[in-house]
Amino acid sequence: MPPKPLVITLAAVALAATLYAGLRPIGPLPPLGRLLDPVDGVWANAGTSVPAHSEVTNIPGLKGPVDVRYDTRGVPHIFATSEEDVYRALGYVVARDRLFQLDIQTRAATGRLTELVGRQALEADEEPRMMGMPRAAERKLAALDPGGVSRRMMDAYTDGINAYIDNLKPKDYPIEYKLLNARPERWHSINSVHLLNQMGLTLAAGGPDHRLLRAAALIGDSAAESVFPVHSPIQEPIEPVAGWSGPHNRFQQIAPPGPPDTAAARVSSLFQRFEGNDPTTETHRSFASNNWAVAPSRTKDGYALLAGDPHLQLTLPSIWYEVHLVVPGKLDVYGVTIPGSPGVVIGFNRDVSWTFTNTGADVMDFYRETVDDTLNPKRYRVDGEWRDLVTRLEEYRDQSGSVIHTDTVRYTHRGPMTRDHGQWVSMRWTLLEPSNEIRAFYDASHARNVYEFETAMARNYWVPAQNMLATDRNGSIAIRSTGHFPIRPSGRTGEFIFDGSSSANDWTGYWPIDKYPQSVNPAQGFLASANQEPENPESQFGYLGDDADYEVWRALRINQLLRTSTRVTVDSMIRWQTDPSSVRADLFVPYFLAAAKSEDSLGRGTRNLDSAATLLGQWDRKYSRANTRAVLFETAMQQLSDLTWDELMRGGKRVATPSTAVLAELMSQPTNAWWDDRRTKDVVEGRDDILAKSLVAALQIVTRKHGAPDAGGWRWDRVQFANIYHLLRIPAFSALRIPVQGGVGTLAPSSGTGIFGPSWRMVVEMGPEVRAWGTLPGGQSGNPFSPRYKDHLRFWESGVLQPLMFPRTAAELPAGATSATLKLEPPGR
Amino acid sequence: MRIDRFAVRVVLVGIVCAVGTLWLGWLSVPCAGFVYGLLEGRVPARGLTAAGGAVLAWAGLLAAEWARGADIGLVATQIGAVMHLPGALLLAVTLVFGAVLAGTAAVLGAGISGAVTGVYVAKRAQAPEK
Repeated sequence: MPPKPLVITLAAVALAATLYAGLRPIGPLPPLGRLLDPVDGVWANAGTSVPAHSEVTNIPGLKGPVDVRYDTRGVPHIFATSEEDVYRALGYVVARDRLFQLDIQTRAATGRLTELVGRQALEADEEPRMMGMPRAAERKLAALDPGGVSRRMMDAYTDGINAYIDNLKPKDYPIEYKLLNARPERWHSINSVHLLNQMGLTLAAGGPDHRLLRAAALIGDSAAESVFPVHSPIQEPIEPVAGWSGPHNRFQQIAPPGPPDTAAARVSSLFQRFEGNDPTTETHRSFASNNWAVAPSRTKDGYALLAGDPHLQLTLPSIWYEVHLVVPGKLDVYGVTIPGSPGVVIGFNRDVSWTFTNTGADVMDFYRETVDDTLNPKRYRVDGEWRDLVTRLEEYRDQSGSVIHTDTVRYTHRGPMTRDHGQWVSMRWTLLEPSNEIRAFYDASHARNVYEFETAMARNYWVPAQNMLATDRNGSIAIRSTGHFPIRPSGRTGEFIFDGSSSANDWTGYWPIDKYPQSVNPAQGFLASANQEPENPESQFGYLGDDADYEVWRALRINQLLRTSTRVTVDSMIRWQTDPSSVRADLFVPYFLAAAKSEDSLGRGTRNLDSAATLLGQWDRKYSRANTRAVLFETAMQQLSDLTWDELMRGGKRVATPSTAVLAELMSQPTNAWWDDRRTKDVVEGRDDILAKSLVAALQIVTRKHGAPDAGGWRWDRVQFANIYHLLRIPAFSALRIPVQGGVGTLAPSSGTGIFGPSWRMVVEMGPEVRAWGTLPGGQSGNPFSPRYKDHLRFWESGVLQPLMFPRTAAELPAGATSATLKLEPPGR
Repeated sequence: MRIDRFAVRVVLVGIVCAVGTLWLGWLSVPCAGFVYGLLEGRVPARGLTAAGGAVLAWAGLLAAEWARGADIGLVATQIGAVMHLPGALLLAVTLVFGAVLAGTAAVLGAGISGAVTGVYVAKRAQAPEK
């Protein structure tokens, strides 16, 4: 019996609605048909959670067979017969494990995220394009010798990635593509340049000191320069200073707040986009890094030791990918690569080990330009002559390929020009100039000693400037702050904006290499960098531009540890990477306690102040997970900052916060006018008044927020966490609220939202046989369903480094140490 | 006896849906349901039969994946969390999605079949006897 017309109608409507949901995205959901399809949809990704034990694949362009052995940590050891083949295989294995990461990071670097996620990413896409990054990458690639090593390695790497993509069936697409209703696009060699540029944007985008300008607008030049000095008032530079046996204070009388500087107010309004960190919090760079090396004379076993842990954004999958590349007789290098960039960035070979920290040099300057038309300029004026602007149309597309927005970016000879508050400002930035970092990494892999390493890096590595630390098997240790450091017109720093109408304000070149901050085999027997100023400000070749957001405390602590240890072991190097002690706490806690005592002796003590001081005095000043007092100290420091820098408030918000090194400097001036709380008209406060107030306020805040001191809520591991988000910030694919050891200013820093931290930890012993240990805050795989997605995380959390396998041949890797094999062969075999 | 026939039909539709999904993708499920409705327009419960076949097919495909070691539970939990659903519910939504596609398409197919047959019968009835 046929169905009734009403039933047929209802069925037709239900079918149409279900088909619509199956074929069209609804709200944030992708089309359900493709998503829920048990063969090609998300369920198919359950199958990819099982790593293939053994696989054979053909790769076009391969000259000979390549043997890839995955060890028990999921690290591919790639054995090839030529260097091009090894990079081809590297591209293939990276794509196999991290395809979505390659894609999204490239799109982020080129301002093409809208093509994946639509209009919501438009603002994020505009930043790299308006800063001239895609154009810079094109120019960098064009400047490379087409037959040169870099280009050949990049092209081979590209072939490898594309071989993987071309063989990919929809069911094998990484889960993120299915959720975004997108598909992977083929790789181009230029993407590697884009990715390195993106790293440069993260690490070398410090423009003029907007905090200084904003502060000057409120309190005048003199006071602003006092609290935002060019050089930190506490120094222990990377390059050891003869005669210094510890930190050196350059304390000066801090100028009191004065009348506002209206010119500074005008200029500072141009730089709102550089307000990276929250200006109301105590200053500290969220990303940072440590590295240190110990000469054989100070190690227990007599071999040079090296440790490195770059602190970057913590993501899943990790920013790094571990790999071992072997071409017998030519290449044997182990380390971490940036997925998408051919070559090992941080690592070691049989003779040399190396690691980096960010220099934080000022390599970006701004010029106020005179243009022929305020709204639609075509020319700009230099030395009395008009010059044509170069224009480039930037088109933004959505998922369907339709153009959703366009920008015209104008370029002067200096770089891209943007309009802020009616003023056209151009930018010169080392990142936008031709360089060849890929060649530098290639050469580093082949270095045989620290001299070859440092020479290779200085020759081709220009941006972002890094403190490059190396050790070798001969027992040498060396460091050099390497990169292009601009030479500015005499006597000028990059802190202010230049007049663009005169070419006399242009850079006149770059520092000569022999003037770079550097040291080889220093008498002290160790070298350490933790983003502090590279050399004694008194002997600098020129203005380098310290990034004051990098506080000095980590550098002081590691130098303290190294100075007092004469028999350093691998274990101590590993332990120090998560050392919970804090020089910052050691410096400030006594001030708080002394202030409480002083208030008491003056009869101004209160029960709350006594309690707070007692609780703080119980702290061992270590940010261990179980400690229950760091929370009080951190809150007191925040209160101290709020009460001390109240003169920097405007409209209920602080415009900038001086570094804690400056606060330490102010501690030595107990009656400085800065201590006065402007809100109390009839009282002039001194240092101890403010310290006592801060401590009492902190106790109230912490008790209100976390309960009684010993009820459990004050434990550090219930207060501060690492939060490692998936690249799309999908909570289910993230690792959140991970308790860690460390706090503000400790060697393993943890602060704020906890999204930054040690992105790779490595210790290398340069003995007769190189031995190394390492760990990542995640795993090798980018597939959230893979057991290798975050299998290293538990080691990272607890500060444990795993031994890294470094076999010379495939046969040297024991059978039990191989978790999977992959044979890559030329087509037709 | 009637149950046996129903079960056989469900299994047959399920096989067609499974093969179709494997080779042609999810859109083959409503197509299979529609064709089943056309062919079996006068059989009772054809919508239910097609829906049952689709559930059987997709559940079978997922079970096969699971048997090969795929972690279906993990995917259910994590993708469920992305969509703010419990993992089991995501699994249920998947099967219901297939069932609705096949079932409604079968009812529609049966309706069209019935309409065509009805017209044919009516025409036959109106035609003069030879």
